[in-house]
Amino acid sequence: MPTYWKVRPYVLTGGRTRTRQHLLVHTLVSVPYYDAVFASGLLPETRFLYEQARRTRSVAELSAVCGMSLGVTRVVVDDLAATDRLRVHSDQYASPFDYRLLERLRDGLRQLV
Amino acid sequence: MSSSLAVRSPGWRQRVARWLDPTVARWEVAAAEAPPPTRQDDPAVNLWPAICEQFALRILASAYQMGSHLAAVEADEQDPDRLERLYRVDHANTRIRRHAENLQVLLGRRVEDADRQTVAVVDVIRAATSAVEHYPRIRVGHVVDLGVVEFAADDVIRVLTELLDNATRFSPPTSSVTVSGYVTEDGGVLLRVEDLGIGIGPDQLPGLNAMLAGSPPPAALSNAANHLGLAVASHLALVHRLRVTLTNRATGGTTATVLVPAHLLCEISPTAPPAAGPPSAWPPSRPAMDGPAHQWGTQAPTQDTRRSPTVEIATVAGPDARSQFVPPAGAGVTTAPAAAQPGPAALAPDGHGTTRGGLPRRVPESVRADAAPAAPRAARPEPEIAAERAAWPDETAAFAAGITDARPATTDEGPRP
Repeated sequence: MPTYWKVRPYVLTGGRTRTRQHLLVHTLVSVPYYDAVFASGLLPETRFLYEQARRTRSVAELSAVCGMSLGVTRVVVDDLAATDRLRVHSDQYASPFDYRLLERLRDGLRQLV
Repeated sequence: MSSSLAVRSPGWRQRVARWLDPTVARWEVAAAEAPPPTRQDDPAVNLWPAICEQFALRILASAYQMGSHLAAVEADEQDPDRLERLYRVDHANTRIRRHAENLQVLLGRRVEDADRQTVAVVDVIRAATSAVEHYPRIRVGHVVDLGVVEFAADDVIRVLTELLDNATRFSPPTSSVTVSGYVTEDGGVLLRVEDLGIGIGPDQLPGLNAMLAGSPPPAALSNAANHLGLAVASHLALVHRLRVTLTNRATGGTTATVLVPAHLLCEISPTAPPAAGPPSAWPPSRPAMDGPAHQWGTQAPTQDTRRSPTVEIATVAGPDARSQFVPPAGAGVTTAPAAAQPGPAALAPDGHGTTRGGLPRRVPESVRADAAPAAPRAARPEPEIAAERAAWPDETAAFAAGITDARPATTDEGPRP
């Protein structure tokens, strides 16, 4: 769902690039409870991301399916997380060689084949 | 470039466009109403519009080029600090593009926007926000789920950009400017820009509104350089029959409104807003390629008809998926529910006016006193339209007051990205 090209990325984030919490590309986020009324009041990109995150997804996945750059996606995810609409599973992988992360990576690669 | 071709091509294009669509004549009328850039017969003086046009096109081409590089770098950038700097460069570049476009508008040329498409009203607002210097202060309020047809979308963006720019420029640097879009009763969309500034002097306001309505600026405002943004807005409003007005708010500040008529609107799919290509792909710099060559030696704004709406739609209508979002220009939202139901006076046959005894017969009708004028909507005399035009700012002010009253109850300022 790409945005119209005249809508520049800095407008989507209000010029912000920093996030309150550290969001890595493989950080998993999910919607704890989906609120359709809340979703209807969101801007198109945020609403699409909110809907996509009903299934637990990584930040990189959300960036890809929403057609937003990683920098914009991070800020949007962070804003939603700040209002508790999105849960960030931040402490799931302590190290990049975590067994579960490697397993997830393997599963993802299998899907691509 | 041979001069004979340059002189001949606009007429040829007009004939083809008119052959394809009779409504093209409308464009010519609209363009003829617009003030011509220069009326001097001296050929040396007459060169200036062409020179300005050349520079506008070159600046625009450079801005497009820079934009495509920037979009690619922005998409890859991971470091927040560097990304923030890139955003600043992008913002400056967007404003350069805007100024080059405005120069073309003031020259009476139709701007050749890259990658035209139907744009959702919310994206019109945000695209306009992108080109404003103090964009972080702009808040998006309630916005209706409709789209602006592709041949008008970019011009509506330009009009709104100028109004937003004025609103942010002439209001306190800590205050926010709210922009929202509502459906009006006749199917148009009213875009409202509210600021908390000092407002416009009551002596200036009628003159500015008259200028925005298309009349030449009064003597007090003859220094057009002070009102470049409003000059752009009035020019484009005339072309697309938008209605742009400024009103002072009772609580302080100014409300600028743009009424986008129903024939410039269309439905958009709520699940998949129309957009083409990946966001990183800035559209190609087409204006630089074909623009300058045949512009030399032409001076009348009438040649703008070479980009007629119908021709535009015909070229994109292909196997492309997004062509389904491009309805014909007339197929807007359903217009004027009031016009569909004729007034009760029209329903009562003449013969039943009195009983046999000469007493007036009761006719069932609405208790609303204002229900009658709904029927004669089709052909209105010119003075009536002029009177309505004069009454419009008052109605807008009433609308603004209603919105202000309703706001504390809902506290719905809309989402903030």
